[in-house]
Amino acid sequence: MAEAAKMSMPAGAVAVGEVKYHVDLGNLMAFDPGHHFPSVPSDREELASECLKRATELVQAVANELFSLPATEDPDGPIVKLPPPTSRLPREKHLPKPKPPTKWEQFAKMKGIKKRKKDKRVFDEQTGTWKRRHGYDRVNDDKDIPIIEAKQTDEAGEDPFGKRKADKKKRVEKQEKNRLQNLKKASKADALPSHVQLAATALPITGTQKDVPKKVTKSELENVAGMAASSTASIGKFDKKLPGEKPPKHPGKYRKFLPVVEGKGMGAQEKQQTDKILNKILSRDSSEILDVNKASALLGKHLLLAYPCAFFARWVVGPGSNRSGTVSAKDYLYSMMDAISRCVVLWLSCSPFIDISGQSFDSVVVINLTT
Amino acid sequence: MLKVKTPKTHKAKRELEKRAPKLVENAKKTLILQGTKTSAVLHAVLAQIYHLKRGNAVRFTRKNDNVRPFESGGETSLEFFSLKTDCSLFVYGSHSKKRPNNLVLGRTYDHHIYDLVEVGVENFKPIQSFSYDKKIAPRMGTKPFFAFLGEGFESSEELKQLKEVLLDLFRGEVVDNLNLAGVDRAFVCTAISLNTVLFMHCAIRLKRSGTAIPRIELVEVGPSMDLVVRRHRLPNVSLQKEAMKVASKEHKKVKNVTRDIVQGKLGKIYVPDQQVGNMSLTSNVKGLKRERREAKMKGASTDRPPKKQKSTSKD
Repeated sequence: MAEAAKMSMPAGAVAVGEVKYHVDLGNLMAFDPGHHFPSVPSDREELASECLKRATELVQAVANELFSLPATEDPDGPIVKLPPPTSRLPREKHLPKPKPPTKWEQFAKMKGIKKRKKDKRVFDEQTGTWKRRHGYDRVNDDKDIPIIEAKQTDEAGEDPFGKRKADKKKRVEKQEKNRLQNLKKASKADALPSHVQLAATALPITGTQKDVPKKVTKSELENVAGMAASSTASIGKFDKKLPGEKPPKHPGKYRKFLPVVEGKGMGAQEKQQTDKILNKILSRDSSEILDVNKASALLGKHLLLAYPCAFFARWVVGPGSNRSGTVSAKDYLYSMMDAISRCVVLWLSCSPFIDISGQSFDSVVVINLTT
Repeated sequence: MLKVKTPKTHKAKRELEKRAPKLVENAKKTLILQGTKTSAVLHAVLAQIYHLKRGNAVRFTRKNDNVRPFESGGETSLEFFSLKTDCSLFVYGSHSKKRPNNLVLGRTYDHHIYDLVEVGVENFKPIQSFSYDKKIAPRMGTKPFFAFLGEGFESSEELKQLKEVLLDLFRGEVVDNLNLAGVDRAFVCTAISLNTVLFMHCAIRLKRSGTAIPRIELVEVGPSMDLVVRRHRLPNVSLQKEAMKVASKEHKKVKNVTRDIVQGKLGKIYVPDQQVGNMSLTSNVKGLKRERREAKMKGASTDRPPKKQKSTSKD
C-alpha cells in the first residue's frame, strides 16, 4: 500500500523534499500520516486555507500518477485504466455461492454426456415442412396425429389419444418434481437463483424441511397466553386483564369420582377399570414373581366370590403356601382358579339361600373355562 | 409442498437480480434518515450529504422513533430498511441534549450492521455559504479524490475507522476506466485533534503546467464541518473476515512459456522418445505393397540396374 511518491512540484510551488504519502490510485486517495499541525490555527479561515494548501499537494501527488497512466483517446476525453484499489473495504453482500449440480448434470458428468446445440428448426417428415422444435406448431406434435395404428398389446376400451395425453402430462409432472428437487438442493446450499423464492404452501414433506416452522393457530396462542397470564403467585387472581383478553378456558383441575352405585355407562366404569387390571395381571409374563397376598387381595377384590373364595382357595391350595410367601404367579393363579372352580361348585350346591348377581357370576365361569 | 415464487414481470426479475450477491459488486447505496428529533443544522447536514450522494442514496424524511443503532434491539428496523432499500451504508441523524447534532455513520454486511461511528457535527458551513465560479462546480456522480491529512488517522483507532467509513461513503463506484476530463472534486479530511476531523469538499481546477500533468488547484465548495467522534463500534472479527473475502482468481499456471525482453515469447517443447518398434503399420505403407514384396521375393538375381546417383551424373 505504501508508496513513496516523489513530488515533482509544478513551477511556483514551494519545493518540498522527499515526502512519504500513501497513494491508493484505485480510490484516487492519498494519505499523509506525517502531517502535524505545530499549533492548530484558532481562526477557521486560516485553518481551512492551511488544510487546502496541504491537500492540494496530496491531490497533486495522486494526479501525477493518474495523468501519467497510458490513456486512450475518446471523444469525451482521455480514458485511463485504473489499477484496483489497494485499501481494502468490506463487501456489501457475501460472495455468490456456487450452484450445486442438478441430478441430470451429475448423471451427464458421470456418463460423459456433453451439451450440444440443437437447431431451433427441424424438418418435419409428417408434413414435409420445417417446423419449430418446441412451442406452437412444433414438430412431432401430438395434436397433429390424426390416426394411431392399433397394436396387439392394446387394451380394449382404452382411448389411445387420451393415453398419449395422460402420458405427456405425467412426464411434465415428473419434470416439475425434479425441478423442485433441484431447487431445494440449491436452496440448502444457499445458491438459489436470485429471482426464485421457495415458499411452503402446506405441511412439509415428511422428514424434510426442518426449517419450515409450523404455523401456530390462534386458539393455541390464546391458550398459551392464558397460561402465561395466570402463571403468577396468585394464579392470575389479582392480575389486570388486557383489553380483549379472554379468561383461561380450564382454570382448575377436573377430578373424576366414579359413582358408587353400579349401572350403565358411567356406572359400569368401575367394573371396566377392574377388568382391565385383571387382564393385565393375567396376560403378564408367568415368570414374574408375585406377592401372594397382593394378588389374592387383587383377585378377591375383583371377583364375585371375593373374600370367601380367597379364603376357600387358600384352604384348598393347601397349607404349603403361607401367607407372606411368594410363588410363581402363574402357578398360583392356576391353583387359585382350580380352587375357585371347586368352591363355586361347592357354593352352588348351597346357593338357593345366597343372593348372587348374575353378572358377576358370569365372569367366574369365563375364568373357569380358560383354565 | 414447496411453491416456487418467481417474479411476474421481467422488470421485477431484473430488479431482483440487481440485488443479488455478485462477484463484482455494485456501488454501495446510502440510506439517509433521522430520529425523532433533529436540529436545523442536522437537517441541513443530512440534506447536503444526500445532495453529495445524489443518484446513489435514499433519503427517508419521516421521523424514526425505533432506530437506535448502538443499542441492542434498536438496529432491527434499520436492518429492515437496509434490506428494503438495498442500502449498505447509512447516515442517521439525531439531536438530543446529551448528544447534540449527532450523526451515526455505519455500514452493513448482508443487511446486518457491520460497524458504526458516531460523530457530532460542529462548525457546519453549508454549500450556500461558499461563493465560487459556478463553472467549476462538481457534477453529479463524478469520482472524487480523497486527501487524508494527519497522524491521527493512523494513531487513533476511532479516526482510523472514520477514515475507512468516509472513504466507503463517498468513493462511489469502483471503476476500471476513468475519464480524465471528469475529474472535478476532492474530499479533504484533516485530523485536527485525536478525535476531531475537519471535513471539506472541494472542486478541482486543472491548470496548465506546461507538461502533460496539469497543475491542480482546489477551490472549496462546501459543505464543510468538524466531525467529533463520540461512540464507535468496530466490526466483529469473524464478520470482518467474512466481509473482506475476495473471490479467488484461479489463474492457471502457464507451464513452459517464458518471456524474454530480447527474444520475446519462448516456449519449451518436450518430444517423447519415438518408439519405432512398437509402431503399428498400416497397409498403405509403401514398403509393404504387394508388387514390391513380390519383386523382392524374386531376388536380387534379376536386378534392375542401380539408380545413378545425382552427384555422379553431374560429373
